[in-house]
Amino acid sequence: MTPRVVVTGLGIVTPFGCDLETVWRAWLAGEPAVAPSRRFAAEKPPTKSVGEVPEADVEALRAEFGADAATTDLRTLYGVAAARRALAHAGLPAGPHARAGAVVASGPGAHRLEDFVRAARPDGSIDLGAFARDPSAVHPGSLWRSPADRPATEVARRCGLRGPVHCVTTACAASLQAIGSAVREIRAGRADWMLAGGADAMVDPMGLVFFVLLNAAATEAGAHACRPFSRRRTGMVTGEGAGLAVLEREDHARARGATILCEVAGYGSSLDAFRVTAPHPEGRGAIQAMSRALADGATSPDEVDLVSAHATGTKLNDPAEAKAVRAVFGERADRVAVTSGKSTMGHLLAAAGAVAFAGAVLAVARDEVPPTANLRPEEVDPACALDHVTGAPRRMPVRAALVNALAFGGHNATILLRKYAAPAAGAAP
Amino acid sequence: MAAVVATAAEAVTGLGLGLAATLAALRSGRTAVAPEAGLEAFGVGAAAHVVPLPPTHAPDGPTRVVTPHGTLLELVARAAHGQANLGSVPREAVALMIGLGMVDSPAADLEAAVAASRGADGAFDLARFFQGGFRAIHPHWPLRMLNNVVVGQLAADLDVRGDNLVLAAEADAGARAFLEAREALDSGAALAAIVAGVSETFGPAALLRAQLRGTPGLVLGEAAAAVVLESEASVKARGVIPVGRLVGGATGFEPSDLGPGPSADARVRVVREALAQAGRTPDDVTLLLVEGDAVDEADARRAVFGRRTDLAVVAPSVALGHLTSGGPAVASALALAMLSTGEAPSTARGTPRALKRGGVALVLASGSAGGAAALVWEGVP
Repeated sequence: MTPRVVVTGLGIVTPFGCDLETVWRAWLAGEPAVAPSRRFAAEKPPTKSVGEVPEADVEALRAEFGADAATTDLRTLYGVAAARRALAHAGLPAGPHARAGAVVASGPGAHRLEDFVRAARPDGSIDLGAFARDPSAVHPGSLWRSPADRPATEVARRCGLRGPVHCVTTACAASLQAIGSAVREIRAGRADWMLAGGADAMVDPMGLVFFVLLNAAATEAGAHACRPFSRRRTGMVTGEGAGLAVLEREDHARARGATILCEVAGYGSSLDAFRVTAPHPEGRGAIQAMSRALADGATSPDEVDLVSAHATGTKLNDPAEAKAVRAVFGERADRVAVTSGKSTMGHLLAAAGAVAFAGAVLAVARDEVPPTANLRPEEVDPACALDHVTGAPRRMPVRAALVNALAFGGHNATILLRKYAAPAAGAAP
Repeated sequence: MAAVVATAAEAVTGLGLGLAATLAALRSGRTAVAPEAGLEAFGVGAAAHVVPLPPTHAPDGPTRVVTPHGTLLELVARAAHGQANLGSVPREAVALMIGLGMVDSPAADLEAAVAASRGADGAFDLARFFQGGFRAIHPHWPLRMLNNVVVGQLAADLDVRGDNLVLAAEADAGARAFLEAREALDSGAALAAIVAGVSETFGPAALLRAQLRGTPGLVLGEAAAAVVLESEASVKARGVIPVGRLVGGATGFEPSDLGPGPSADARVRVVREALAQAGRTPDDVTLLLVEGDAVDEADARRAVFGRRTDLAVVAPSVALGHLTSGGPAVASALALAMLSTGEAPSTARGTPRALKRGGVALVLASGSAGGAAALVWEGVP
């Protein structure tokens, strides 16, 4: 019999801060943490609003990280901080842990403008050989110094994990796929528990122009810049942060008396196989990912009460995802609550799925759903009409929830969460 | 664990645009490692390039990027897809599991933007960059920096829509791609999977990264390989001919105290776990493909195999360069070919070694941060 996998710990680093309960209260309140960049206020970046982790938190995380913080990229700082918080939340001791691993998604990494300025010759050409003489001069945030797998390996090293450790880099779908990979590892009996999720940070000079060059950045300024599913949506807002969850084999969690937050019942993944710069307009890949997650969890769409949507607030993503939700749920689509956190905290990129996962875990565990900030009922795009949670949190029974992550490039992932029910006394484990 | 069946394998390396050509070159004692000028600053004087790469598409367009790693991936994946006749498998049931070395874009992509953002005094001005200088960045820079994009393009080209992952960034990730495919097949999420590994694109950035991860002077190579894995049921239903079986595999993590890479203990653990999954012992292994760049690996080899003299040991990196995420796929494709032909070439200018057809091969892989991996392959008798 396939073992059940449950969630026993959550750790997040977000533009609201790093304390799970504080973040959840702010998320429920629906007041965005999105604002013009404080980090680059003087230089006026073309990205008019971002979801930045507050500088006080960044400094606290640097101190927590220790001596290596000065040579470590922000996403690794965030990932390690989220991992430590998830372990503490799960009540797991410090390592070494022989039968535990980590799957941590991150962006593939980015250039740091500072490096190119430093390496520019008088004629304007760039000489990377300049760094060969002094590699220590490379910016800590550069992909040359901090490759994609650094958050995963640093989490494993600092948490004493000796099992499978790897890094997924499928852009915005990556951290949900990381969670799916970890679920399979536990089901296969190769780990008792896994840390899974993602970390990303692109609020830096190159990151701030990245989505402008892709014509995906919101053009509005201020807290209301991102408006998922709205007729007035203009694009996404770049955010940063991390989300790590402790996923555990149910009998292992019960044996150590852990508090079980909910069950991870299913996982589905797909490829649009369409265009790398646009989702399939009918949501073909998203339908497949959601359907696969439901089948994997032997769950009917009728049992699902909530969809945590990817909902970037871009022109193309939102209607495609709305069509996919409608295709999966049929006429019941109007009675399935839909929420998204990207207008609240920004798009946390490779960490987005994991933070959405954390929110959905709390929604299932506590029967409360945060609103999609900045979405007014009268402004819902008819092409995106669903049962959107707007304005205020909704208290409602949440038996099961789907969490979506749909990436640039056409990678899609869905996780199915189910309210945890302990096995009946005398039932086979 | 149920074994999964390999139904195709293809490789493109510095020794040839195909698996057969690569193996033939290895058998004749050739190496792709050649002197390379202009890299002295990085402490490197040689590399193993794949040249020339045949163009598979027109140059970059508004919705497509053409990069060396993308072309390598497409060449091997398309060939393996064809060999296995995957067109007869429902496209939603074909998975893509890719281990991809770090991608990068040419420094020249940013030169104009840096130049356009200088003030009257010649100094770089971030405000100028934000106010418009950034518009001089090469328009494909963002797509080149997202390493999943080439996988999305491949999916569209082959119309493959199934389960998928892109794993980064070193050889342990390349090995992990095989185990993710096995999980997808075991769980029923896929009937077949194209597993591929691609090396880092060679250049100053790759050399800089090697320095920063504590492996300066490493001779880097460029290569890719793809193996198609399928469930036994799918193979039987389709009537395809197996080229081998993946019968065991494991990954683990523990940094070494001796230098970059995993400890000998971690390497031993993954080998023992992989062999146990396969129901095999070290004595069953006839062919060992090593990375050949760490004391810990040699220690682990002695701990597992003692001083066996009948074990054929092959280090592809000697002739192909170090292939990061591409290494395990290339080694696995070569292992399947060697088990099929019954001969292991010497990579140390010795004589080739006869192999029992249908024997067992063990592929070792590692990552500089401490990841260890082992794959156990069984040939077709």
